[in-house]
Amino acid sequence: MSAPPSAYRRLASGHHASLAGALKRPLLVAIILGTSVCIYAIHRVTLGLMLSAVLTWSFAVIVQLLAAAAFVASSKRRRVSLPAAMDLFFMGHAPWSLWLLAVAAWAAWLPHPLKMDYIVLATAAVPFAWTAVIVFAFCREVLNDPPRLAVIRTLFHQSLIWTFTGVYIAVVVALWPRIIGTLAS
Amino acid sequence: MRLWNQFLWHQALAWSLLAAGLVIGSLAGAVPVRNPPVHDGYWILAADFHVHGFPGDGALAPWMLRSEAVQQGLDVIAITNHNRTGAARLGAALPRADGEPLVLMGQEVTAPNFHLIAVGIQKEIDWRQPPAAIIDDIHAQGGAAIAAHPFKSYWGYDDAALTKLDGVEAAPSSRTNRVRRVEVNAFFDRAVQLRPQIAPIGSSDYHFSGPLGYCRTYVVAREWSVGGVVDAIRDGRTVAYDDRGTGRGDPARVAIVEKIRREAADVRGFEVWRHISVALTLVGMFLVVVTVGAVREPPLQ
Repeated sequence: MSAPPSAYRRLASGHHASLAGALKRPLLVAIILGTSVCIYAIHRVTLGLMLSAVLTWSFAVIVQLLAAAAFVASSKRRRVSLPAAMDLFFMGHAPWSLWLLAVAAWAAWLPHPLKMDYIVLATAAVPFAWTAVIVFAFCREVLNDPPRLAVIRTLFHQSLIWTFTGVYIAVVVALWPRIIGTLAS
Repeated sequence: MRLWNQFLWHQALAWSLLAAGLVIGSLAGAVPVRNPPVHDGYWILAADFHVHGFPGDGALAPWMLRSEAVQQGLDVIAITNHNRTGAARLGAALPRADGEPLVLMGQEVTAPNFHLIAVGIQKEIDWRQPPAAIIDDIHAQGGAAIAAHPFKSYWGYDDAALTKLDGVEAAPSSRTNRVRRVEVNAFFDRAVQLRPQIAPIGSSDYHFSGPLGYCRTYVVAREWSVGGVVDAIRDGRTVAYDDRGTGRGDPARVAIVEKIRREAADVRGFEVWRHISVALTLVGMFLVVVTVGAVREPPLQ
């Protein structure tokens, strides 16, 4: 995925995947997420903890899966079947997968209180940008979109994912009382 | 074909490393059941009353938090998500074997100008009330009210509320800057003036990184139960510890807890094996991403 347009161009011709086959990469993403959560949060990993983390955080993968399905199914020009397109789409998760593992590796050898969560979040700009490039290449080469539509579709997909993320964060941190407090001070 | 065989071999290596990491981690992570010490008929319980869980703004599900509490030598934790009690309810309902930590249902009542930890409650507390009314609500549910990270921006308590508070987070971590440290001390001193038996509390405010209980509270409780813990907080029978090992509370109690901390055996598993397990898992996972995932495509057969 270092050269997404040429990779997708090559893979889009004759790529096949069954429905079950299309779920393999999302499952792998869930395993990566669960493993990274364990190592980042508690600096250790066991089979039980990993499975628990995969189970609990799989909601994030399910959201990505649903967003991708809506995104791919809406394309009328795509060159491959829906399962094959889903499989190719999740191939583009590499930037986030590698980032999750890199952050977990970085955290694993630091004493906990020295960790700086905000710096970690700032480094997410790299996979964020790289993913946008990959999604654009996917739209162009797999969904066969003209450039303008590929940009619109990329923006739509990324907005969908980040709006969901924003809403989730707003709910769990109780953002509303914090906004009231900030406005009042 | 040779390229394809090489690709399969890399995949097998990747999954084997991952499996080895998980197996070693599982074996090295086993911690013996530990019973808390008893002194003059009182349990001395190590507690963390400010822990965020999943679902919420915490990384770990309630049963994972309890497993980590065992690793960190904690006897009690309270799951306290922001204005939500789902994860806490689940944690409190978990079946508990002998020696396993007690999980209290809690909430971080998140209001515009104060955050209040409610522990030992039965249902969600409405944050839209004045602080004194919130504390009354917590008490009516049989819980205890603790002022969370009382930096200046969270000083939204009037004197009526301060006199009702049961505890104050008074052991800021080494990450807290000097100004905020002064603010915490000023708040605690004011609370002590109004209610001399107020409980000093040490908490980790654990979300995604910690470790759990790196600031903690030692509770001197008549029994190892929700009621026993809440009673101890309300009576001020606590000692707060920050992550540098500085205790805060009644000097006689601090002396007892110091002795217990010195005598306590290291409950963590073998550190070397933990590191090996994490390293193998990460390398295996990285290779899985590279070979199975997406970094490069499989060679054509």
